[in-house]
Amino acid sequence: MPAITLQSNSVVKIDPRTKLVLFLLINIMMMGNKPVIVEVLLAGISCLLLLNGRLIKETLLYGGLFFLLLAIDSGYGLQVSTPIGQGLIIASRMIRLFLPMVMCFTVLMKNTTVSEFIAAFQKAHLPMGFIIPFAVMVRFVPTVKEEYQAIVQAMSYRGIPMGVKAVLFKPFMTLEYVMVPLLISSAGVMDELAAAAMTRGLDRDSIRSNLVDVKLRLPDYTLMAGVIIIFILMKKGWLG
Amino acid sequence: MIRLNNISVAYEGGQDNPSHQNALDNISLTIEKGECIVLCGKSGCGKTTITRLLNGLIPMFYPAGLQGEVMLMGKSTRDMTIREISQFVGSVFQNPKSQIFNVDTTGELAFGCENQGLSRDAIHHRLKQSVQDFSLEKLINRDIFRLSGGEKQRIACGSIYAMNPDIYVLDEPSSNLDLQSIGQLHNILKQLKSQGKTIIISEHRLHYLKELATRYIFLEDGKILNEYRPAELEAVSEADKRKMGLRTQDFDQIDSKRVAKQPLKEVAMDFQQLLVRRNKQTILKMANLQIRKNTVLAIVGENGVGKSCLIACVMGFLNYQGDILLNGSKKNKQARQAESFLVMQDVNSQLFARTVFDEVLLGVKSPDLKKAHAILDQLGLSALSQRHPASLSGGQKQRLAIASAIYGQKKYLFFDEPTSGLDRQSMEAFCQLILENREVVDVTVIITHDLELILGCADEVLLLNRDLSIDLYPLDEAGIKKTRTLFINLYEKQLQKEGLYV
Repeated sequence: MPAITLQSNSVVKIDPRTKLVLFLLINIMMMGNKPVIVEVLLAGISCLLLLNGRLIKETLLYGGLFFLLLAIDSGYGLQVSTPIGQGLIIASRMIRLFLPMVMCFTVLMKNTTVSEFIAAFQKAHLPMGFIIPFAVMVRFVPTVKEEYQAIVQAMSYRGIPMGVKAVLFKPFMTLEYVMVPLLISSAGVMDELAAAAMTRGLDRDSIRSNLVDVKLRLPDYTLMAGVIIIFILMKKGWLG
Repeated sequence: MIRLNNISVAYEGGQDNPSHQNALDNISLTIEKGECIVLCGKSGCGKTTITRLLNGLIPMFYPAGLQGEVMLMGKSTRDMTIREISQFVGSVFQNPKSQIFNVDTTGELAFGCENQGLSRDAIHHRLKQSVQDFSLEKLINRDIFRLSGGEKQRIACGSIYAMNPDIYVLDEPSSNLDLQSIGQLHNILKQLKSQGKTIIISEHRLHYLKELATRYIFLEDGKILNEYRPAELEAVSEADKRKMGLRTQDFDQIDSKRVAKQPLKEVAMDFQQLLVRRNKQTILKMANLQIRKNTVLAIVGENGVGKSCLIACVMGFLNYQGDILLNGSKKNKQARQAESFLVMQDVNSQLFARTVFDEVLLGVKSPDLKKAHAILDQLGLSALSQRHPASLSGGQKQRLAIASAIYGQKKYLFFDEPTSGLDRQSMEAFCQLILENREVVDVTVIITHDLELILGCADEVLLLNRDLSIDLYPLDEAGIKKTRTLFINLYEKQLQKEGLYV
């Protein structure tokens, strides 16, 4: 019998709290005014987190896209003078802005188990009234994804157009056709899930124990300190 | 151990829907320790409501007017929270998709124990016991979204078992399971019974409960009509069981009055050297296979042998090598999708429009209102034509899906386990529906684990085996016998195999 593990499959164990703090800090920094070197550092850290979670495909996709866009921008950005070209450059910068965020979110969702989240939040003495909805949210994301795939398939043989063209030219109609079944079926699943969780004793008043051992360790402190140092250096204007 | 005293339950908002006005009507029931009670009856008879009373979901989660008293081990459920009840009542639900709270299996197994606040050592011990007793070795540390329905259901049972309750309440646990998984469920229940646990199970399928049940409670319209000891129920004739809406207890007794005899029509679906590979593994291989026009084809086989894959290939959702000819010609993805229609297991994700009528018209360029009305009428949906599709019952949603398929003049109709969770009446109504419409569609393909459905409406059976061999045969007398034996063997093989562990 293989050993029982509750931890997500990572190279180095990272506490969910660290992932959340990094997610928030990287968001704040990416949204603000920042030099390119900060962007590169943050994207690098996000890639490291993805790699640590053995999410190779995602690392290549998001990381590759980020550095490709960056290379194009720094290579041609200043030479483009036509309105369309400038529009494209602005669009590419917008996408670049969100990529580290997407990477951190992927790590949070794909590389963290519900048990880890609950354990970490309980250690941080957050109230169950916050922890339970959060855990439900973590469970909700893959549920929606599963339902969405089924809906898109059904659209294809119901003769409802779905694709770039439909989204661009009939955005509201497409949205309705996707959202209505998505909401109805996801809401049904979540309702039953809540009932099942309650009959397994999950409750605002329950005094829970946790099988999984979450702890802030050296890698956690290093990561958080690293991002905070980048933040301070950036604010001081020492990063160019 | 459990006493229901003069219970009446009315769901809130049930007034609009007369069939739900009183889900339970003044029933009383006493259950002793160690009993295995089977609640049976047609859909909507109140089976599920009783299970919800026992785990406290009524009235604490599902708002409902409750009269009378539910006593669990001498205490009224009114004085307890769902969490307190969960200490000694464990619940397994119908839908494997929506009862696993964690995203990993091990987390789910430990989840109940953690909520009880057990120490880490105790949880480890309980987990090991669960894994060992239910042979879950292969399922631990897995991603929930990569498990089959049967595997999820075993995890759900294991998770409850780890909490070590005295009472197990199961609400139609077999409805999404294949025959093998039902065999495994049988073994789990057998083990629980041998440990002296009290089991209450609401179920349509009765064959796997034969040696387990101590009493059958037969409900109708929220009342307990009758109570049977096992020998008494077996003595009830198949015709009477049918009147009662009960599924069969015995594979040998399923009647197959109709013998399919098809005149040889032209080939409508032709598979040539079909090969599907995923992750460097061959999952489906078919040298040569022809389905003739107006055939109802049932695809059977264990979970994971590529039944759904085959449909995905025809509909162009999956890449493959080889050729699929539809009515003699190769067609591209779009053309094939335009001609086919899949009724999914979860019909909810394929209803798009605001009313039933619009749903039928959806996706058709120049609508013919008269024809749409005629089809709705034929399928008994005309009274509902202005309702929102989401407000229909499961059976009505299936009808609606079929109505849209026929209206869209779809030639190939696919069903993915359409009768899971249906009672006998609804199952027979479904067979009727298929038979009535078989001349309108070119090929009807049904993936199923339901022998009653196969014998009720199929013309041909396609068996997919684990070793990639396939077997296509007509459902004539020899075919019926073959299918029956196949089902009996599949189920019993599982019982013996698992028997080593128990």
